[in-house]
This record gives sequence, structure tokens and C-alpha cells, in this order.
Amino acid sequence: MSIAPGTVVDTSSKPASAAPVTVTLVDTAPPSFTVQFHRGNLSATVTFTEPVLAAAGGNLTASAFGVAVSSAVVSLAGYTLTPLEVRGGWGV
Amino acid sequence: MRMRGCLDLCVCGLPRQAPPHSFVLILNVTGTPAGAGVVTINVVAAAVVDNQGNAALPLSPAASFLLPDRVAPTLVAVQASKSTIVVNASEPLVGSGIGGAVTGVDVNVSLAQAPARELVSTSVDSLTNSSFL
Repeated sequence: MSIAPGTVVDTSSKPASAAPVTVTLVDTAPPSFTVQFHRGNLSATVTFTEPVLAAAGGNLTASAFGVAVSSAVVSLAGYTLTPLEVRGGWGV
Repeated sequence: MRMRGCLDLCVCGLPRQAPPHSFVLILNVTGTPAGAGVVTINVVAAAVVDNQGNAALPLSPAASFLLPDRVAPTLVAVQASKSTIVVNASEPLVGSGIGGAVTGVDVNVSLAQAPARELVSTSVDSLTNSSFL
């Protein structure tokens, strides 16, 4: 952001600096995600729009997900979570 | 004074690795799915956050998918006459014919005892799913 040269002055008529000021906006958008189910091996790929962590800190675990099976002949014994992909970095 | 190892020096300037975007959930189920069950998947509310602490919102409704059919169809001959056998299957069938129709080439018929006449050919005359309704 910057002020057009010569357009803003103080009470002594000294012009404001036209040097740009940089402001970093805070990310307030929550991550969203999609789920793709693979019928062949009874697994699902969950893809978030950005890197995510467990709210309690650390890497995500299976407990961050709710999985349920509604079936008269099949019951869910459990499920595991494996990171699939790492993109980029968050800087030093 | 001993110098620090090279590995320590080399990694100092690397950017911190971001957590992953994508995960694989592997379901462990008991029983054999028959194509009628549904699995629902969602995040637990306030359990997943980005690096600013913004919590991922659960899907509404949750993502749901049909479980596959892993049960093979079974055939039961329910009525036989001189030249016709009426067969019921435990579920709808798909054959090699047009549109997945079951045809004569999908069926093997043999005579267990030597008959006076040989089995010349077989064909599927009709197919109905009425028994599954």
C-alpha cells in the first residue's frame, strides 16, 4: 500500500512519504478437504487445501477423523491414517 | 575443540518441512460387504487445524460411499423339465451379451448320465430380475 506522491501533507505542508508499506494478511480461512473412496481396497484419500496439523499439536492421527460403517453384514474394526504427500515448506 | 558434524551444518538453512496435505485412511472391516453398506467419513470438529490455528470444518453431510459387493452370486436350479431349467440367482447377473445380458455362452450345461440324445446347444431364453424386487 502506498500514498500517491504529493497528495497527503501534514500541518506543516510536508508531504507524506510515498514509500510503499507492506502488510501481511492473516490467514483466517479454515482448511477444507475432499474425500475420495477406493472401493477396491476399502481405503479413502483425504486431501486438504493446505498443510494441516492436529489441533492438540503434532501430526494428524486417525482420531482426528470420524469413520462409521452402516451395514448389516460388515462392521468397522478400526482404521489407520497414513500421510500421503508433503508439499513445499513453511519457511525457516 | 571438535567441529560439529557436516550433516548438522548442511541442514541448518533448509526450510522447515510442511505437514502433509493428503492422507490415506485404511479401513479394517470384519465381514464381507455385499454392496448395501455405507461408509461415512468426516473430520472430528476442531481436531484439524492449519498453521494459523484455523480449524477444518466437518463436511455437512459427511462424505458417504457405498461399500463394494464382495459376495459372489450363487445359482439355484429351481425347476427342470425335458429341455428347460429355470435358474434363480442370488442377485442380478451380468453376462457377456449386449448390455451385459447373460447369454448361452455364459452358461455351461452338461449331462451327468449318458442320455439317448446328446446335448446339442444351450441358450438363455429370458432373464428377469423380478425375484430381487
